[in-house]
Amino acid sequence: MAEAQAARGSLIGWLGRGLTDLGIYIVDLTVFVLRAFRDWARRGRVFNRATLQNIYGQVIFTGLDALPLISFLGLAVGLSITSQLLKLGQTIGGEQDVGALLVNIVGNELSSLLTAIVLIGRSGSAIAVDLGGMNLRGEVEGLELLGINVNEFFVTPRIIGAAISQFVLAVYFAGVALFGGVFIITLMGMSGTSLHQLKRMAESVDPQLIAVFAMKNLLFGIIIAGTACYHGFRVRRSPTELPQQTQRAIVMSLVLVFAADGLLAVVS
Amino acid sequence: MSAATPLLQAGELKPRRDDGQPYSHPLTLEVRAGETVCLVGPNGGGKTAYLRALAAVDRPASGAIKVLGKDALKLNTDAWRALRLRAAYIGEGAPLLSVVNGLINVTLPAMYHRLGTASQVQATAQELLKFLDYPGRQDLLPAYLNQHERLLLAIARCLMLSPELMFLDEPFHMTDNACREREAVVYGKLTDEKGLGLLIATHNLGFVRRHADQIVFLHPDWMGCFAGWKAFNASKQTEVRAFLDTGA
Repeated sequence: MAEAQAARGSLIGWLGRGLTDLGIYIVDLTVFVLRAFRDWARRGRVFNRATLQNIYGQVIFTGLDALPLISFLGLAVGLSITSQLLKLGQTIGGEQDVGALLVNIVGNELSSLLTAIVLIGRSGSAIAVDLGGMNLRGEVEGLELLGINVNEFFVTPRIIGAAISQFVLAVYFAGVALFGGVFIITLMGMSGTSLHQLKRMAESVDPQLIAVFAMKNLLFGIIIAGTACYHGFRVRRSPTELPQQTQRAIVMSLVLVFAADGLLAVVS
Repeated sequence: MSAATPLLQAGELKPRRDDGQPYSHPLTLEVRAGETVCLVGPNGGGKTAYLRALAAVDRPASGAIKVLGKDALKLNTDAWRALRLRAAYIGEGAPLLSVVNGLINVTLPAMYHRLGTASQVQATAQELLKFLDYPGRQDLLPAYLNQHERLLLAIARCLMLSPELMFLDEPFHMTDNACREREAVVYGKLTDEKGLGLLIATHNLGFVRRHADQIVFLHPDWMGCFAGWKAFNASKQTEVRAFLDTGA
């Protein structure tokens, strides 16, 4: 009896400590991101020539370079989920609702989450390794000692670049997944015309959905790059810290992206 | 600042060790324009810690430090960043930004601080690389350059901001004798032609013998300041003798 009580107590304690740590982590991360934006905005012209190059670089690496993978995943989702939902709609006779279902599940949820997962794997890990390595080699301090604000130079451009890329890639993903699915099912002769299905989907899109989609994806981008930069800068002296912090950046990005997605789904 | 005013004044300065404890020996020092001050001594004496404290990179445990007339201990973040343009610090290994090529490394701080148009900044960078007799390629990433070339790029990067003081931590690290000679010439040009005050932490006693105007000897058990090599070499202090007799 006493043992069971102790086990229950330690489980509650473990949960409590975990939640407290997560809360502190989120506050710390939020302050880190806000400070980066504050430093960026404090300098008269926010688009500095040196930092602008970093934003371009981040958009190219995170956005353009991920296009082939996003195209493949979009088509795969179109082939599997979109076409399945369309077939299901035909079978159960609820074609009216299939458009809304597709836009919500594939266009809004899956495209945002799968794009975020790709970005966490590709860009989040790369940013953490990149900044961690630069920190280890003294490159970050080297710039600080030239009067360069590393928040403004390293963090904000990466966050802005990742947020833009996440949003644009999610739009692209949704387009490929929805149009691809409709196109495939039409080719297979299992549904009405493509135009008919696309019209149904277009009718299901409303301004609130677009606003939530935009906000969600920009937030995902901020979380992914912010977390990666935060952990990259936590690498101090030992090379062993680099894989540890990279792994934490990936795990925490996934946790926060899924949590934010759930919260936004409930709120909206 | 007038030539008579010291660029750097340190009084009873004690930096911190890695564990947060202060070093035992307080350092009092003045550095004027065109002077070369060398920090020498065996490993463990605290050369890097003293150099970083003198450069106002790290906050000391105690003492006073005035860099270019400003109380370094009372600077806010913005003032500290502004000071960094005039008091350059190059760490051991002269780390450059690894993701951009040599020329961009040199121009980057000037571009960031908006010290001119892109073409003006490029022209200044080329002048400085010529001044430093930079022998390498400018279009390569730092990883493809040798240590001598990386060091010269790091110096050029600092000079883009027109500093008055320059701090270098073991700049002769991993370079051969020929490169060390060329680097010594560069430091001579920095003090003589540009009037910089140089503070160098080094094990290169050949350079110290020929160029040091002041020598700060740092040993775990003793510390002393000397007015040049002659005074240093004549010292009867046990730690100095042991250091010199073992050839550092």
